[in-house]
Amino acid sequence: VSGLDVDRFLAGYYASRATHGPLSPELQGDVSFVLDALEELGLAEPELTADWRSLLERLGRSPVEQELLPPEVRGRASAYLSTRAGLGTLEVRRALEALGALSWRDTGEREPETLAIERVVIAPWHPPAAIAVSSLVVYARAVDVNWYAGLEPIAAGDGALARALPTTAAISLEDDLGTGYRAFGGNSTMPGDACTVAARTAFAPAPPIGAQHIDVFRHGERIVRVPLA
Amino acid sequence: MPPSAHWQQRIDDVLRVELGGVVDRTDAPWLYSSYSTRPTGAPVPPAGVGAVDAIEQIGLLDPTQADQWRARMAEAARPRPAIEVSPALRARVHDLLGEAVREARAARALGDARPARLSALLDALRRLGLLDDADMRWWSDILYAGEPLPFEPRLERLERSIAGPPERRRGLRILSLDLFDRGVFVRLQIARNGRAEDGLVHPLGDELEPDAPLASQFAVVRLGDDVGTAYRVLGGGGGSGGTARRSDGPFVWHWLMAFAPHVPEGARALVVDVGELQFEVVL
Repeated sequence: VSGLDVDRFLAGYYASRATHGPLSPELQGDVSFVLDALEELGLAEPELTADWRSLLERLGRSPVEQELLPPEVRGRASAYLSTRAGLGTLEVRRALEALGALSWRDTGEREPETLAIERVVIAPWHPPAAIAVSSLVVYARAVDVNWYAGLEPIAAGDGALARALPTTAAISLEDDLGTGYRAFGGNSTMPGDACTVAARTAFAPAPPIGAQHIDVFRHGERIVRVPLA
Repeated sequence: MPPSAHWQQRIDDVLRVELGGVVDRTDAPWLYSSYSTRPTGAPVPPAGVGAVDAIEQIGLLDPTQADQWRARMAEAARPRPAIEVSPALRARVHDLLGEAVREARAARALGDARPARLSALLDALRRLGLLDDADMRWWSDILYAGEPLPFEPRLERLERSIAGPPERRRGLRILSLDLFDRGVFVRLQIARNGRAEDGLVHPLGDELEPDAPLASQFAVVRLGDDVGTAYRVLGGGGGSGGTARRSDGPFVWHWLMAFAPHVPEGARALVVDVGELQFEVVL
């Protein structure tokens, strides 16, 4: 094929799925499936696809178990990063971290709020509403609200999925001490066949000692009162 | 002293991924335009070169190697030339897709419902320039023609939630099991502290296996119970909040998996298998 650069394609295709992070087995399977197809079409030599399969294997390792470069190299990396500012800094930092030349502490980031769990509080049963709250996970500096929202079954390809997804921004908290909770993160997923969105919305701060309960609201409507005491 | 072969390989891998990012931003700019925060008129830094400069400056690339990588980055940033596809290759591409569609349908009949892998292939062939928009519409229609996606009725009624065991093993803790009218959601968290100033990774307070390798966020999750119900995976997902890519930083992965059918009356315990780990939750 005139003009076809399969190695270039594979570089972009791979990067569109992962940037220095491990690929899930599903995404690794996708890439491997595409490599098989390219071989079958006669567009890629086995040596080229073997090279990419090898890269897939190496980059599939867990980053927390990857080794770091010696301290003197990390010191140089940290010093170099401190001279950079503005555009391109993120790219440099990401590459140096991926290489093991920069420790996360060198970047001055604090530990995530949702790391060490203090307790899990199951929400009491509540009547069907727009969302169902299942539990709260309390950390030292934050609290997660775990909740669900149902979706209408969707016909293939009708494009309704995105419109049907609820937004985590609609969730808010109040407790009996008047604490000001601020949503700062979370994640959601819609398991393929379940027609239900499962979500986690993270708030800071953690409920203060002495708080008796937290009310969970969606668009100002109270969904459930969760006892804490 | 030049880096060892091991580290040379790592440098090469990191720069290859950077290079891929440059290619992707060049060949699929529509994926990136909406995320740009660059002020209008600001100079555009040469893509990928920042990483090369940094690795050279800390002494892991010599000037010749660095220049070669800079040239590769510059080449990657040039628009891809149009390709010419011969009728014979075009026919082979469509034959391959026809076979893949037949296999996807057969897999679906056996309960493997999602044609995700076929979608990956369509995406790849489009990016390669071997399929155009009309081809994509044609194959999407073929793939989905007359076949509603096999969604279950939604998991409508949350009947009960149960907290998981209060301990963590290899970073993994089962937070809760949420029992619905037609299925079960399992919520999990994988977490481990980052390396502290003293060079140690201090275990979290609920960790039982602090010295064992961290559980994989990609491990297969299975659900069972004491009455032998065959639960099947409906799907799942997780997120890290950005911690998953750090080399020695704290790691947090919030994760959940959905299963069907619902827990039958009479079941007294659920068992969650995550890779080699097993957790029992008493009902």
